[in-house]
Amino acid sequence: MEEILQVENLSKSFGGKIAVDNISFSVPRGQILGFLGPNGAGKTTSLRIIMGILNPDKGDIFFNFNGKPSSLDKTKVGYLPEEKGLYEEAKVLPNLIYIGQLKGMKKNSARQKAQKWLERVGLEEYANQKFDKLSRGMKQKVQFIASVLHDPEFLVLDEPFAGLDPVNQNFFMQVVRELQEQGKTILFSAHQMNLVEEICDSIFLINKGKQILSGNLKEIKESYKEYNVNIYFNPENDPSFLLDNPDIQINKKNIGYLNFTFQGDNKINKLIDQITANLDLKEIQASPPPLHDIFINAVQERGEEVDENQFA
Amino acid sequence: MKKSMKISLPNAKKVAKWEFTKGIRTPMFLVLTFVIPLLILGIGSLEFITQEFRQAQTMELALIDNTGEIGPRLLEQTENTNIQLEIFTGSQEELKQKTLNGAYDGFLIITPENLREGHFQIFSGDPRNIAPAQIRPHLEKVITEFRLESLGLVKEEISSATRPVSLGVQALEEEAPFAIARFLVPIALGMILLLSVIFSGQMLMYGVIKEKRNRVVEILLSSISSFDLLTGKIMGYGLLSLLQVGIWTTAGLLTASRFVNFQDLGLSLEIILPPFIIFLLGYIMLASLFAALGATMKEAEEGSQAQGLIILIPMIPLFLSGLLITAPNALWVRIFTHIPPFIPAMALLRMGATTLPWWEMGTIVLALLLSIVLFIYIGSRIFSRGILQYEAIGFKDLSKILRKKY
Repeated sequence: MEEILQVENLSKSFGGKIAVDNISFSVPRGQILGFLGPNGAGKTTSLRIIMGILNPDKGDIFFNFNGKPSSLDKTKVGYLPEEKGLYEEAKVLPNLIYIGQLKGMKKNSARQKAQKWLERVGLEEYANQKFDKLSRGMKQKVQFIASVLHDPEFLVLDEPFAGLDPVNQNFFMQVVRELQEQGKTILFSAHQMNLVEEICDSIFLINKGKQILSGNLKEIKESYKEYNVNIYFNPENDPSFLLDNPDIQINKKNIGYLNFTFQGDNKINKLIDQITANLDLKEIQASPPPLHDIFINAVQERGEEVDENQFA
Repeated sequence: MKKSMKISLPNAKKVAKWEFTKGIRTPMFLVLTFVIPLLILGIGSLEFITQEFRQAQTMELALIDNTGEIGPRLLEQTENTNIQLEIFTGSQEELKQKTLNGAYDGFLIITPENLREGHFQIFSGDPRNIAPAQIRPHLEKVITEFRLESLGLVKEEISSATRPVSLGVQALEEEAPFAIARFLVPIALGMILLLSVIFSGQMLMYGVIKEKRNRVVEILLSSISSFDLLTGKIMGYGLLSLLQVGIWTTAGLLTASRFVNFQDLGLSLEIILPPFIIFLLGYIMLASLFAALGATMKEAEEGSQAQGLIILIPMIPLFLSGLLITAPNALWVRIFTHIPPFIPAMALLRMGATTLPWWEMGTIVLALLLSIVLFIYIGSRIFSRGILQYEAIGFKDLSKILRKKY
C-alpha cells in the first residue's frame, strides 16, 4: 500500500532531555493512524517536526502527495495543533477565511467552504460572532474547520478529543470517519486510548519518546491471543470449574459475576461451550484486550514502568 | 528538512492585509491616530483663537504728553488699531483716580526726560489688561521718527534710515536661497519615526505577544514560513504606521499653514525623498526588532517594560542632537551612522545638519538594508522557535536559538 508519510529514525531533545528517541513509522494512504501514548510521551513534538514547525536533531521525513515523493507541502496538509486557538477579537468567519487563504485558497472559495463547514458542525449562526465569545467545544469545532477547510489530502490532528464532552467526542469521531470515507489520510494523536481505538486502522504506541508498538490494530490485537471475558450468571451456580482452568486469570469476582482474562486463542469457542453448559447464563462478553492494556503490557515487557496518571 | 529564508511575497501580502485590517479597527490605533491630530489642530486653533481674541480686545489708554509732540503723532499712528488712545489734559492724580475707577485700562506719561532716556511706563489698575507688546512698536516708530526729525532729517531720509534689515543665507552652489526644508524635513521625520516606533511598534510587539498567548501561532506556522509571517506583519504594521503618519502630517501641515508659507520652506522632491527613504527603512528595521522582542516575551506587561528600553536605545542620537548638529561629519558620528540600531536617528539628524555625500547615502542605505535582513532573520528564528515555548525567553535560550537548530 502506498504511504503518504514516512518517518525514519526521528530524534529530538530539548536541553539534554530526550523528547523523541529514534522512532520510525509510516502512514498508509487512506488509513487512520492513531499516534498514541500517555501525556508527555513525545507525540506533540513528533507532530510538530512532521509539520515543519520544529527541526529534528536526527532523522528523515518523506511525503508522497499525488503519487509523487515530495517535501512537506503545507497546502496539502491540514493541522490541528494541540495548543488550540485563533484570533480572539476577530469574528469566526474572517478567522477561517484568513487561515484558508494562508493555505492557498481563494477568498471566495474559503468563504463558501467555511460557511458549509459551519453549517455541518451546527455553528452557522456564530459566523459573525467574535471567536472569544464561543464556548470551548465551539472553539474546538471552529479550529477543526480551520484544519480541514482547504480540503487537504493528509490531516494531522494533535489531541483532537482532549477537553471535549462525550457528545462532542462522538461528533468528532464521526467527522473523522467521514473524512476517511472521502479518501483522506489521517494521523492523530491521543492519550485516551480506549476512546479512539475503534476508529484507528493502525496504531503507533509511544512512551517516553520511545517506540513501543506499531502496526495494524486488528493484527496487533489478534497477535495477543488473549480475551477479556465478562460473564453474568445465576448466583446459585458454582463457577469454580473456571477458577481451576490454567488459561484463566481472574480479574474481578462477585456473586453472579466474573471478569477474567483468557489466554487460549482458538480455544475460546470451546470455553464458551463449557460455560453455557455449566452455568445458567444471563450475559457473556468476550473481546480482545483493550488498547490500554496492550500498551501497559508492551511497556512492562520492556522492563519499563507506566504512570497511569499520565493517561488522565 | 532544511528551511530556506526565501520569501513568498503572496503569503507575506496576505499576512500584511490581515494585520492592516485587524490593526486599523483596534481602539488603540483609532485613538492614537485621530486624537493626536485633533490635539495638534486644537493647539493650533487655540493659539490662533487667543491671538485673534487678543487682537480683537481693545486697550483703552490715556496719555499725558508733556512734550506736546508725541501725543498727536501716537494718536495718528494707533488709528485703526485695537488701541484706543486719548490725550488727557488733567492732572496725573486725577488720571490715576479715573484709571482706578475703570475709565481707562492704563495711562502713559511722556516727558522730555523719558523721551531722552527711552524708558516708558504704563500705569494700570489691573496690569493683566495691558499688552505692552501691542503698543511698543507704535511708540517705538513714533519716537524714532521724532528723534531723527530732531536731528534735522527730512521725511525721505527718515524713511530710508528706518528701512528694516533682513538677513538670509545663500548656498554657494545653488541659485535659490537656502531651503529651510533641508533642515526641517529630516528633523521632522526623525520625530515622526520616534512616534511611529512608539505607537505602531508597540502594537506590533503586543500583537506578537498576543498571538503567542492565543496559541494561534502554531496554526500560522503550519501554513506559512516564519520568515513570511514576520515579513507580512512588518509590512502590515508599516502600512498602518504610514497611514497614521499621513494623517498626523496632514493635520500638522493644516495647522502650520496658518503660520507658515510653505513656499518659503523650499520643499521639493529632492529634499523630501532621501530622508523619507531613511525613515521608511529605519521604521522597518526597528519594527523587526520589536517583533523579535515580542516573540521572546510571555506577557504584555513584560513588553511595556522592555519596550521603554528598546525605544531608548535607537533614539539615543536624538538626545545627542546638539552634539550631532554641530559636528555632523566627525569620524565617530560617521561610524555610528552605520551601526544598527542607531542608523535611522543618526542619519536623519545628520541630514538636517549637513548634506551627506552620495557615497555615504549609499553606505547608509546598504547598512540599513543589511540590518533589516539580519533583524528579520534573527526575529523569524526567535519567532518560529521561541514562540512555541509559550514562556519568556532568557538570554540563554536566545543564544541557543540563534546558534543551533532548535
